[in-house]
Amino acid sequence: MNPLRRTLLKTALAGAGLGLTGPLLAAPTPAAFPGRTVKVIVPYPAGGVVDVVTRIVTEHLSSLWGQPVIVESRPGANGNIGADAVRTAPPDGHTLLVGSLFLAVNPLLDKNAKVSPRDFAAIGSLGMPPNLLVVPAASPVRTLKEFVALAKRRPGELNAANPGVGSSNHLGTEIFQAEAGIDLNLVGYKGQPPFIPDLFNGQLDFAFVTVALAATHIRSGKLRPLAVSYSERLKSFPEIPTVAEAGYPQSAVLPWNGLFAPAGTPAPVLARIAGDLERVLKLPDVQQRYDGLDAVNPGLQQAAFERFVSSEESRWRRVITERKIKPE
Amino acid sequence: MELLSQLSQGFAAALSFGNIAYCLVGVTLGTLIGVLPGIGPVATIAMLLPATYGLPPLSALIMLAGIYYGAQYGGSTSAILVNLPGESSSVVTCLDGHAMARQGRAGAALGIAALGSFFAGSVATLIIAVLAAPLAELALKFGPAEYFSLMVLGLVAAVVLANGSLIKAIAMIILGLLLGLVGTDVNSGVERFTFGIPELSDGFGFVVVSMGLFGIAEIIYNLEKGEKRDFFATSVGGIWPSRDDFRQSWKPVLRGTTLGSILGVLPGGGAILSSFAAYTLEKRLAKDSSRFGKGAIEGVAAPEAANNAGAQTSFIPLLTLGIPPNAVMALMVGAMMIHGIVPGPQVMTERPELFWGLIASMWIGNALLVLLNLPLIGIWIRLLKVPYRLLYPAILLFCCVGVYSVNQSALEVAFTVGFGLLGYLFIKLDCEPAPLLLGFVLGPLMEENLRRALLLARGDATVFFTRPLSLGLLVATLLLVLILVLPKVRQTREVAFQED
Repeated sequence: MNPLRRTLLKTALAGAGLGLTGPLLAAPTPAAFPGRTVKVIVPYPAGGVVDVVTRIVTEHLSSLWGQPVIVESRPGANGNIGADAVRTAPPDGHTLLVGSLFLAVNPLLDKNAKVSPRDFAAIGSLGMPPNLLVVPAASPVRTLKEFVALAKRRPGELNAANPGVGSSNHLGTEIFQAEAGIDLNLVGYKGQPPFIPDLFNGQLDFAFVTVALAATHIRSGKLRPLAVSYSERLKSFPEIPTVAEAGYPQSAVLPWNGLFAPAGTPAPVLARIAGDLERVLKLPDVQQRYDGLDAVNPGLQQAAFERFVSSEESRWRRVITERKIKPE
Repeated sequence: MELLSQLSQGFAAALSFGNIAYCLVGVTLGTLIGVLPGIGPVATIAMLLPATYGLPPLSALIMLAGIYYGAQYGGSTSAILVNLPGESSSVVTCLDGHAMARQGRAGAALGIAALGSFFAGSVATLIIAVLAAPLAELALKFGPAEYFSLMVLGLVAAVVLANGSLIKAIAMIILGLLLGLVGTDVNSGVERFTFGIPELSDGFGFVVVSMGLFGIAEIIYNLEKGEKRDFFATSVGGIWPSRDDFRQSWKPVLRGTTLGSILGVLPGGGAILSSFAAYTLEKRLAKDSSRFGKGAIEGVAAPEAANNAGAQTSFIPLLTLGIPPNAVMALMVGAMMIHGIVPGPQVMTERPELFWGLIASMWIGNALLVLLNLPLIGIWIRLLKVPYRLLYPAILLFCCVGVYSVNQSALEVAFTVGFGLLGYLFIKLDCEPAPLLLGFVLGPLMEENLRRALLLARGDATVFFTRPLSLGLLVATLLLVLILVLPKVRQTREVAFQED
């Protein structure tokens, strides 16, 4: 049996175990998919990390399916606009969404948000470069413990970057403050690149910043990494400890993302896409290019991924209430 | 001479047959999308990004960069011919460029714009090659306080843009600031004036506002006047800039190049100011500033040079710091990442052929653009002979396609029409839209940096006066206010004396 068939069978069985069969057995067979061009909507500007990470995968999915897989950038309203376009698309697997942390967080922050994770069926996680906790090279601190000690000596005085309310960087900084019992002064920016110069010139004392942006400045010695906000160390920076190793396990906040289909997409189609995605993610070319971007993937599929998304929802509901993040 | 050997390495890489071809494709496409209203380099580069997967990284970057600065050349064409600014940089070109076209001097305006841009582009490329690293260090000295003071200077200078009433100009700037408030607050995440419309949560797009206020409003106004557009075709014979034009333009081009090169380096939105700043400077320096807005060639030469110089030097923060200063540069980061290149200071040392090859290609690209654009001037002018009843539906169509291509949003096309009606009202009320647009662009940046600077200083407002660069900019603002007010004082006194 070829690996694809095996995966398909496995996922189908997993689906059966969850009671996803029954009426869905009458749904179109996977043979109906992909019947035409598949559109993957990335709700972020083209050329960004999410876009790049997605394209690495869709390129291979396209050759696997023998159909063009188009990545369409629909930015705006922190992902809501792109997500809404997929929510209202026909649930046949030909319109997919790259959803991320925003799916779980937006409904908690914005009562007008039209989309929630319930509007989508999770297919599988993609990869994302995790965040690093960094200080400027001129900073006196060498470790995360030292930074916490400094912040405790000067409560409310150290400046930290916030590239967007509800971003992984923001939520990470909030949860880290709670876990370490410190109080930082959060300064708002539109995205991550604009705050890098203010880290260099010492106006900012601390930031959660994606390794995609920080790597080059760590190598040139302008930024000092204190920890990786993920459960594992990075292949390209094996010397940087994880937040757990540095003493703050709660502060692992991955800006995860993954492939979603509109709710109501037939189970066999979901299983087919999930299986193919899993297969593509194992290709040496994809692995190599993910490593080049320091992208990490929790490797979650369908039901497991769905459970992960709900766990993220409850985690952030708690943090947003406790830290009083919700805009009034 | 390390620089010479590095440059020759760059030229060796950029002058391969393939790379010249990609450069030509890039600048041709750039010119085309620049001419077409609304379809900007951001949308084009985003669309072409996947196509660059298969190319070697240098070829991909050369082509994408060519689209970007090619669009700066092309953007002035539609601004001059049909009063349609596709990019923030060509708003100012509309003012005198389109006035020149109305006088039958479209050819002179287009010629000066192309030659001025070529000169500025070549100089700015040299600046990148020689001064990239020290300039990047200077850019780092610009923190939120400095940006705020720079934006204040820019806003005060915006008053100078207007030709008519000072009160109306100030009112338009404030209206622009108010429009800029729409969107999500950066610090709290609260949505302001969005009325629950998700498309507004990031504010109005620049293309939406500028296309409406300038392009659509102009069309309505022209249609109202009827088909009396023969002024365009009166003196087609003189399609080239005259000796006099060159004599009047070479100094403004030099000044524009200098201003644009400096402002382009600032990653926090300095490039937006370059063409506005150059125009303001020329209007102030001119012996007879009343010619501005009525077809002064300096008002085309200086801002065109400035925006092209700024477009080139905005590669400096990207190449040396790895910080993209605008949306196009953010796409270039994406293009580099796709090829496994992390933009930043390492590129210069680890991939010198890439860094210097790209710089060398900018020279080649600028030369190709001049060769491409000068012969095209004749064709563009002939376009003006097309009867307006045939031309305006085409312009409207391209406007809609252009606006739609930014975010694939039909609602934004509707917004554009709304701004068109507003712009028509402004024409009727004799209010000029340029100060409004500058307020609209600078307002959000100013607010962001004001609040950021105050947050960083924990509410201590003296930070704007204690940081030397910021103080210098505020002093310059004060001087500008005095220069603006003094002639007015003199005039009122003269009027008072006459009444005696």
